[in-house]
Amino acid sequence: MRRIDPGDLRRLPPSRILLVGPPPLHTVLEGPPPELALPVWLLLSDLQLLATRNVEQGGGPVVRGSALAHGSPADAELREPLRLLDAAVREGRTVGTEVGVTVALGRIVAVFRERGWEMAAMTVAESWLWVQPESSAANLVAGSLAGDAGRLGEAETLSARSLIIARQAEDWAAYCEAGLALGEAHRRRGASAAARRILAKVQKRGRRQGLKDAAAAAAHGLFTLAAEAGDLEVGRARAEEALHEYPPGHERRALLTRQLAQLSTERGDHRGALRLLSGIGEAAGAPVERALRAASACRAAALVEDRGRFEWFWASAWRWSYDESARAAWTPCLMELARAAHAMGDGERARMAAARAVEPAREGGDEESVLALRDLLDPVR
Amino acid sequence: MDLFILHHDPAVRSALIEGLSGRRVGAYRCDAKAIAGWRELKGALDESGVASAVLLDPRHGLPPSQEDAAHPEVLQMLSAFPTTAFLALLPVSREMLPQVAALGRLGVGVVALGHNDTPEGIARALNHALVRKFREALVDLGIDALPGHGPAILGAAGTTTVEKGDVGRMAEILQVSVPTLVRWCRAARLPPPGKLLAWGRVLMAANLLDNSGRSISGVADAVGYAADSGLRRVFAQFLEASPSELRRTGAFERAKSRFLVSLAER
Repeated sequence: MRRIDPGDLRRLPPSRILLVGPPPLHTVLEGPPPELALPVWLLLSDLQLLATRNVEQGGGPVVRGSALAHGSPADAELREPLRLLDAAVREGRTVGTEVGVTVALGRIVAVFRERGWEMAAMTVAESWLWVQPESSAANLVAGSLAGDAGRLGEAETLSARSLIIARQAEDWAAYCEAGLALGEAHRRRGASAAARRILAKVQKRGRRQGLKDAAAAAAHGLFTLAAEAGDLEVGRARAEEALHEYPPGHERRALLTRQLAQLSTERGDHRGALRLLSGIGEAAGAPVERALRAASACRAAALVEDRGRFEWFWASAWRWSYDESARAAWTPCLMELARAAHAMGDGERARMAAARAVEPAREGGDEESVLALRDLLDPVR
Repeated sequence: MDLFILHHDPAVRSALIEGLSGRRVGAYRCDAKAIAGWRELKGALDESGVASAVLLDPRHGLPPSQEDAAHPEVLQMLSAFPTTAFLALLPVSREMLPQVAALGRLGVGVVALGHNDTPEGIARALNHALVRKFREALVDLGIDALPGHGPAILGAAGTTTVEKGDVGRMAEILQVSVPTLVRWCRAARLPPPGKLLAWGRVLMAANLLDNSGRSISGVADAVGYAADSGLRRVFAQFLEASPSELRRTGAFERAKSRFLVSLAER
């Protein structure tokens, strides 16, 4: 990695988060328990004050002492990150470039996201960005959360900033990660050509630097773009590249294979789809993925009128539709089964699957699926 | 800048006055004054002739049994003085967190008493609060809908206006050179940076005219004109009306629509 000359960063696209002043911190109190929220709130306040730009030199200390003196949480996962932040604040270090601050804030955001404290995670990420605007990781994480919240323009800007910073530092792993995020943000905003360009660059760079996961993920992204355009030939080529680069046993291999099968189905190649889906080991992938695969295979079998495999995959997918570990897949899995049974001319089973899909769809607030299910139920009633 | 301090503890009050008087907050120097109660605070803000901020204990005057909530006067002050920056001082404890959250939802930042309430800590927190106030008014202007770098450029113009900075400062905020900033403005179909800063001052002055009890010369001073004649001249040039006429008819609405028209004409 190369040390960045501040002059190199003069062309970073401006982020709105950085221009509205430091983000308000009260939202960090939404989610975490008080014994954790208190030190996090105090330390973020301190970091924001320390990172204030355009201040008089020699104004004196910003804090009186340790934020952890007011209560240190017993949380094993966050004790060390909070200690790192506290040390940086107490010693009045240059928090804008301090590696300990980068590591600690990154960890706190990750833990908050894992625990479902989305608002608090967003506040920590935006504060991190405000404190370290030239950190590739801070831009990437804040961009990812902006994307999750549907703020796609901001997600694009921040991913682009992350990419430029990583490129200047010649940190190629970070460059590829930022490029993948930028490609995804472009794709979601409908800028397919821009997404294709950046993903092709990431694929090339990943191969050159031996970053096989990144190269494979870029090819996977290119496949998704081709699939969205309905281009089976290009989709197949990109999927083959990705499958070649994903290491054996990689979790995303199973996902990509199912997506390729889905594209084949959409383009009328049901036999090809069934061949692909049958070729994946039954144990590959997480429960959600396995449930979706079984349902897709069931539909493909129905479309080629292969009764034996239809029954086999129906039984498997039906079991998954009761399995708590695959709960997130219940609605799409049952919808696919309803379509499969309908294709097989089995109206009774189609109605049964569609009727069962309604409840989890409603529970998840998935109105689009509820409407689709109404359409599905109509012809089979 | 007038900084009014409302706190029951004389030791806290005098430490704040001693530590903050004459200290720089953004473009301003603090003139810190202790205030006895809510009524006095309202009077002081009505008469304040320059940019103002308030540092207060939100529970001031409440009996001990009700100290886990903010005084109802806080809400009234926020609505009566929307351009004034308010900061609350609260002791650090888990029990205070609901109040910190409630104040945050009202747009009031909190300084942790006994932790980051050093003069430098408070000066920086005040700086954040002042910048945020004007930015809120700009968001109301609909700048987020502008194309390209437009929102970022206007955001930087807003911050620069509050800081009483120049075009060089605006370029520094955006991390570009001045020629690049000029190019960006052209590409985003915005006026050149100097003109934008002039508009920024007009918008800020209009906002203060509508939302504060300040005199016209107080508003002129707050936004950096040497005398109220400067403000009158600029208002005549940009808005074709006098400050007193605009105060009667809604200054910010007029300034906003004129500014948007000037953008549309480019």
